[in-house]
Amino acid sequence: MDYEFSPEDLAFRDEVRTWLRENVPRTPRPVERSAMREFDLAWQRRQYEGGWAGIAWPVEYGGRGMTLTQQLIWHEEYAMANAPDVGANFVGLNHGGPTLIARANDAQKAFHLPKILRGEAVWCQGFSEPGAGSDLAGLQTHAEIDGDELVVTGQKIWTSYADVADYQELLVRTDRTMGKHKGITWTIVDLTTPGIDIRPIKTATRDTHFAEVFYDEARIPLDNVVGRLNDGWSVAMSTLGFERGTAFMSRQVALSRQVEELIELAREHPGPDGRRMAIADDEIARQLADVRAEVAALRAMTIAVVSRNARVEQPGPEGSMIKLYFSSVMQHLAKVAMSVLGADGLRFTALEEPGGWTGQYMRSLSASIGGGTSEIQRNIIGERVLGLPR
Amino acid sequence: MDLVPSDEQSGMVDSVEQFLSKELSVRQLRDRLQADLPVPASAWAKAGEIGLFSLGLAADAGGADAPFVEEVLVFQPMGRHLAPVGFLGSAVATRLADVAGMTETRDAIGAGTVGVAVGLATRGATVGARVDGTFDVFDLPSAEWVLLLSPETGALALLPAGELTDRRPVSCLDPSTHMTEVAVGGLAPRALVDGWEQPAYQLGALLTTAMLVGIAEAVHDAGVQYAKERVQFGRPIGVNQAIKHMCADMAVRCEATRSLLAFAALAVRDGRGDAAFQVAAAKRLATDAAIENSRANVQIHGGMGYTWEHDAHLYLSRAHLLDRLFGDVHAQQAAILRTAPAVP
Repeated sequence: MDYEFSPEDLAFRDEVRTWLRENVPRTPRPVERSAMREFDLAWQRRQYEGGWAGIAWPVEYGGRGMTLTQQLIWHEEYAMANAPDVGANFVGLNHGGPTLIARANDAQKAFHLPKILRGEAVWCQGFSEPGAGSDLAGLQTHAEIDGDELVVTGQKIWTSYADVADYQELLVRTDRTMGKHKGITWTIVDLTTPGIDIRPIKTATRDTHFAEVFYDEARIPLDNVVGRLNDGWSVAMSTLGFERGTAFMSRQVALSRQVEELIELAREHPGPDGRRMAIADDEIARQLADVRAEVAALRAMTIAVVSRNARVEQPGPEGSMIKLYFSSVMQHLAKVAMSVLGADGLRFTALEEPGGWTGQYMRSLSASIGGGTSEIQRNIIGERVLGLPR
Repeated sequence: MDLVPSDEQSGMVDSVEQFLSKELSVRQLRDRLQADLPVPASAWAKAGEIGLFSLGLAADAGGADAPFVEEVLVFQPMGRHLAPVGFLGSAVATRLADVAGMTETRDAIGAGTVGVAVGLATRGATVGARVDGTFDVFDLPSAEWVLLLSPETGALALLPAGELTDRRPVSCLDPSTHMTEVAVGGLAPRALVDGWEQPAYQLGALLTTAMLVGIAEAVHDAGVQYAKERVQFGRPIGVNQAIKHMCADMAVRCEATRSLLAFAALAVRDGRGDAAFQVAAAKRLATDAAIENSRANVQIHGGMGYTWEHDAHLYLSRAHLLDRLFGDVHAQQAAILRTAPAVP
């Protein structure tokens, strides 16, 4: 056991820090959706030109092929430099792209991977449906095969960045006679295809982060199918091997910064008694201490999972523990922020605004829902880590 | 950068696990409890023989030169098996004796030929060049030395047990530990260190945390096992999400605190600037993990878990005892705000 970085790692950290310092955008990320898209793509392009695109992607596909330690360093420095959220590039870089690397044919790879890395295309997911949330394999959006095309009809929901995306990784049912997890196909969808209607959904945070996507006989070339027809479930699962506990790293460092900011705020914001500062209140002080400790534990846990995953071919389901803990720490932080704010907690501040704590409070509600609810994470831990009966 | 124990470290943990299963199992603890016997001298000696109390000392001081990191690894099974609280005292006392140049005492404690009790200052008691006031002392009947500690100041003092004459046995919440209320009037310690950030105090906090993590793990294992075995309505109770999710939360608490403990031990060993913060954070969360997991284990076991015969309550009450040592939850929370994590 050690927490030492090799001279190469330290040199790497210097290099990352210097590059980020000189290149992180100075202007705030726009709120308006199309401007946000352009901002995110421009930032991705900048990273590509600097040689920092696709940090976890293999070098042969244009990625940086960083070791896990280097990824940890990158994410730490990234958050410390206050670099923008990966935003609209998330699905392409962390989900769609890695799936293509694992399962797509050469033509599909050659066309799409460079676009993702260069910041030329935004991807979104097309998995969840109104009737298929936690029970993803229950999806009903279906496709008939007509000549060399899939004809898709149905509806997807909770699709982040669909309103500004170019491509979608879509799961559709192509055979209703097979079992639930069979008969599903994974396909690339060009979102300009006729018959696709995208309607943004306004959230409790007052933004339109995600959308509903409707398909009315949208015709998708069969050439867009990744892997085999009816084998989409295994294609969708293939990215699990890509995720080695690194997904939460920058958000976790960002979380630790927020805890420090909140402690600072509590030192200068009047507390519940109106006379002393919030941090002088015993209950608030204890909660601040606890959430500071929890963030430290989250960090140690991430390093532990990364250390373990570095030694195995296929990472285990322990990533669910990080997701579950991350969600609970994030919600704890947001609740403590409301205690610190007191009456000011009624003044809504959007996430993007300085001190956007109330926006953050509303946003934190989604932490235990999106990307697999905390209940589903607990099922996964119970059944796949602990071996409890289903 | 690696938080996974090496093969050598895992081997060390396995051998301690074997020793405890053979010599100091919870079953044997039950027998001692029944007969109201103190920790046997042979147990101290065997623990000393395998190096449990001298692991962190330098090689020329009779140790294995494996401070903090290996020490927390071997103290986790100690928590798991409800090993005597006095063992904590021995492991910390060897360091104190070493610093004070008391080589004979150091070697005797390290070899386990003498035992060490742990005494906690109660309100108003002081630990310094003079020791005064009332102390709650654990495992005193089998000890030749006493390690007194003041969580208020972080002071640690080593005294011969024979000098503590004003003793009153107390029935302890933790039935597996002998507790004695001791009144001290102006005794001079043989060795003294002062301050939370002293390595000896940090070691004490780390080893206590390790025992708490061991408890959290032991009751997690017991609860999960029972959830698989116990059948109601024709199915194991673990199929129910109410039980399954309780088990998942226990597992997350284990994972989080075990990782943070390892991280904190590395921080202390390497002398990192935020070591005191990491230790305080680890002890704070490990206390919660041990107590909450122990309570969940009782709940999963239902009526059985509430009986004297079942071990579930032993773990819970030991967790409460360990909370008091080297700074309780409130003290740790204050320490967490007094210090700060380092930026990466």
